[in-house]
Amino acid sequence: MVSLAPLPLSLAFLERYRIRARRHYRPSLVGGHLMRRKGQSLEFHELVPYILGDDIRYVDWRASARHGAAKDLLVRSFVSEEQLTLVISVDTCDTMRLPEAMPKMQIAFWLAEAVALIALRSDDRVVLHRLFGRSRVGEMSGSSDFRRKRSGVRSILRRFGEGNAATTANLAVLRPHLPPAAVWLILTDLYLGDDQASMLAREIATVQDGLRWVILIDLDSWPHEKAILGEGVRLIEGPGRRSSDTPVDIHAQNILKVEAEIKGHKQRFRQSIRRAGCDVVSWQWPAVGCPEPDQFFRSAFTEDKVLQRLFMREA
Amino acid sequence: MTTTWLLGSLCIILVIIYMARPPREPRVISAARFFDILPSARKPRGCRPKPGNLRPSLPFCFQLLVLLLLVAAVLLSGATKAAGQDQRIGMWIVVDTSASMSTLQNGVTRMQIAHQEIDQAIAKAKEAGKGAVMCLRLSSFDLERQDVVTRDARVGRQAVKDLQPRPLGTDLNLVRSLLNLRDDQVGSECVITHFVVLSDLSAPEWVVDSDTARVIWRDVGLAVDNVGFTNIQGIRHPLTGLVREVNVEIAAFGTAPADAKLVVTDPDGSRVLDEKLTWLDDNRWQGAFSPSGSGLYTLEVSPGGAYRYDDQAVIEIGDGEAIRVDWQLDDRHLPEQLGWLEDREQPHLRVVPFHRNGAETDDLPILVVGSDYGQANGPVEIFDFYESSPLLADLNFDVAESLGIRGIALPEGFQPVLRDMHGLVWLAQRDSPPAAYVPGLPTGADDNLGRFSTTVFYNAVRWLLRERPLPPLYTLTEPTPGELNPQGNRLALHEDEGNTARTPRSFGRFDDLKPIRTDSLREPKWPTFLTLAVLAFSIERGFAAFGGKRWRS
Repeated sequence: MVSLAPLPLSLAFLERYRIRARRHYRPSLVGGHLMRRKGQSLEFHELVPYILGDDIRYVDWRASARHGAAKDLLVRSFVSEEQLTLVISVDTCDTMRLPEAMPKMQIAFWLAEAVALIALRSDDRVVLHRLFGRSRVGEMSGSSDFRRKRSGVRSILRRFGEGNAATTANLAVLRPHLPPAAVWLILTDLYLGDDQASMLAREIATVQDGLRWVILIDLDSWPHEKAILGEGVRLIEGPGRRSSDTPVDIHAQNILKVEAEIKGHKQRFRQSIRRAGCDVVSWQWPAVGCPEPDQFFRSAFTEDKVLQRLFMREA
Repeated sequence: MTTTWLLGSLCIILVIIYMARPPREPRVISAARFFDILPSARKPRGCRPKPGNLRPSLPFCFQLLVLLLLVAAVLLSGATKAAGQDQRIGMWIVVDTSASMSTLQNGVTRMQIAHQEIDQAIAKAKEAGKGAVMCLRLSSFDLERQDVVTRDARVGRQAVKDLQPRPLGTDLNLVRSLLNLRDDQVGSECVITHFVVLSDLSAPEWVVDSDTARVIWRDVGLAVDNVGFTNIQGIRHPLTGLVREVNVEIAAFGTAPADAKLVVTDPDGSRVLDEKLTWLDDNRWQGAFSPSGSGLYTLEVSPGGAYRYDDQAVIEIGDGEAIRVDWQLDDRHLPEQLGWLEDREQPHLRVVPFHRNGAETDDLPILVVGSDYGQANGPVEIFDFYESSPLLADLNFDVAESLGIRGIALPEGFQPVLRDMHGLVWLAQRDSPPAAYVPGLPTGADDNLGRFSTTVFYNAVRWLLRERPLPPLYTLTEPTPGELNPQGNRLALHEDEGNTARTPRSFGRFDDLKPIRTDSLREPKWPTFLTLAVLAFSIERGFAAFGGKRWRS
C-alpha cells in the first residue's frame, strides 16, 4: 500500500498554472474545452448561407435582404458549449509501488490529483479510474464547493492505493464515461504483462476512433533503479521476478541487456498504439540513489508541455 | 563444559559461514522481471572468510543473540540473583521417625513430644509472621527421607499426626544433605527461610558450629534407662553350616537394673536358658546358648527399659545345608562318604583333576586335585611357604618334608603356598576366582601321609566354602527399609537406637522463627537467560514467517 502524501503543489500554484495555460491556444485538432455545434442552443454564433435541409425558421430575412443576393438566404446558426470530460486512469499494479525511495504510484496519484483539481477549477468533468483490478470510477464536475471536491479526489485515489494489486483490466467500466472528444490521461509505468498490454492497446485504439485525445504518461523509474543496483552480485527481488533466489552479476554489460529488454518491451506497446491523437510522455526518475519526490514532481509537472496543452484554449 | 564448548564453537562457525558466503545484497526494484534474462552469478573462486562480508542481517543478529544467551545460561548456571523483596517465613520441618522416637519418657513417647513441638513451632511462626508470606514443608527421616509436599494446611497437619516411629535406625547424613541444599534446589513452591529439626539425637557439631540462624534443632529426648540386645550372632559349622551356638550381647544404658534376666525359649516353648544378668564394668552382658534343634527361638530380656524395639529377638535356626559339588574325579567314594550331593548345575564347589584345570569359565570355587602325592627319592626340604594361607592350618612341615611329595610346576594364575627346594609347588591357591591345588585326595591310611593328606584336603575345602551362601540366621527380620510393621527383631537395622541415656542438646529457639526479607535469598540466573533466548528465537521465527523477505535472507 502506498500512503497518499499531501500534494506538494499549492492551490495557488495550480491556479497560476491553469491561467498561464489558458493564455495560449492549443494547436491540435482534438480535445478542447469548446465543442461547436450547430443547433438550437442558447448562443447565436454566426450567419451562414442557407443550404438545403436547413430549418427555414432560422432564415434571417432582414440580413438576407441586406447582404445576400436574390437567391442567397442567410440562416442564423447557434453554438452549444459543452464541458471537457477528463478521464484519468491510474495503474496500481505492484510495480507501481516501487521504487521504495519514490514509488511511481505516489507520483501518479499526485499527478492525478493536480490535473483533476485544475480541471475542476475549469468547470470540467473529471473521471478517476483504476486501470487494473475491479473498481468503480469516481466522477465529479464543476468548481463549486471546491474544497469538498478536493477531498473527494483524494479519497478516491486513496481507495485506489489501498486496493489489492490485480492484473485484470478494468476497462469495461470506462466506456460510458468516455464521450466523444473526451481526454483520457493514462498514468502507468508500462511494465504490463502481454495480456494487459494488448487489452489496453485495443481500448486506446477504440477510444481514439471517437476523436478522443489519449495522453499516456510513462512513469519511468529505471534510471533511479539502475543507480541503486550498483555493481556486484545482487539478489534482485520485485514483482514478476521468477527466480528471486538466484543471484545475478550486476555490471555494465548486463545492465545494457536489461535496459534493452525494458526498452523493447515499451517499444512494442508504443507501436501498437501509434496513431494520431495519442501522446506518450515519459517522466524519467533521476539517476540518483535518493531522489526528492516533491522536487521531482514539481519540476516534471511544470515542464510537461503536453499537460500544459491540455488546459489551453482551443484556437 | 562440553556444552559450553559446543555452543561456543557453534557461534564461531556461524560467524565464519557468514564471513565466507559471497555478499548477496538484495535489491527490490520494479523492473525485477526483466532480470530473468540474466544468468545466475558465477560462484566465487574461493570461500575464504572475508571480514568485509560480515555485514550481519537482522536474522543473523537474532540467531547470534540466541546462541550467546544460551552460552550465558550455561556459563552462569551457578550464578544467582536476589529472589525478591517479600517478608516471608518458609519453614521446613524435619522430623525424626527412627525407632528410638518410640521411647517412653514421663509417660509419653518422644514422637508425641515432637508433635507438640511442631504445633508450637507453627504457632510461633504464625504469630511472628503476621502479614508475611508463610509456607510449610514437612519431611521425615530415619534410614531414608520422605517428603510431604502439600499446599493444603489440613493435609499438612494430618501428615504430621500420621508420622510414627519406624523400627529403623537414624541416618543424620540425610539431614545434613538437606540443610546443604542450595536455595535453588529447595524448590520454587516454598522459599525456605528456616529448618526446624525434631529428633532425639543431640544437635550435631556441624549444626552447632555453623553460623547460620536458619536451623533450629530441637532434641526431644531425655536421658532414660534402657536394657536391650546389641548383638546376636550364630556360630556355624564350617562344612555343614549348622548353627552350633548362639552368642548374645546385651547392654544397659543409664542405670543397669540388678534384676535383669534373659529368657530363651525353643520352638516348643521350653526354656533353653533362664539366666539372671551379671553386668560387666561397661554395663554389658555376654553369653551363649546351644540350640537343641531347628526352628524359631525367642530371646527376651526383662525389664526392657524405655525403648521396646530391642527387648525381644526372634531367630530361626535352620537344618544346615548339604554341600552340593560338581565332582569330576574318577574316584567317587569320598563325596558319597561325606554325604555331598552331586549337582552339576548349581554346585557350591567344583572338584577337578589337575589336567582339566582352566577348562571352567565361571567363578565357582574350584579344588584342583593332582594325581597323587607320589614318592620322591627320599626327603625333600621345603624352600618357602605362604605363611598366612589357610591351607597350611595345622600342618606339620617336618612331616611334609619326610613324605617326599612330588611337586608340580606352578599352575597359571596360582600363587605357591608350599614349595620345595626344586621350585616345585606342593600346595597352591588362587584368590579370584577362588581355587586351591592339593597333590591328591585323602589316602585314608593311618599314617603320616594319611593324616597330612586329610588335613590339606579339608583345609582347602573349608577355605573354598567360606563364602558359600547360607540361610540367614534372622529369616524373619529381613532388612527391608520402609516396612512399617516388621515381624521379629531387626537389630541390625536400628543399631544404637537403644542408647536412650544421652544428654539432650538442642540448638536455636522457636523465637528465632521471624520473617526475613527474601532479598537475602537467591535464585539462579540461568532461567532468565534461557527465557530471553526462547523469546529472541520466537521473535526471529515470527518475523521470518510474517516479516518479509529481508528476514529470510
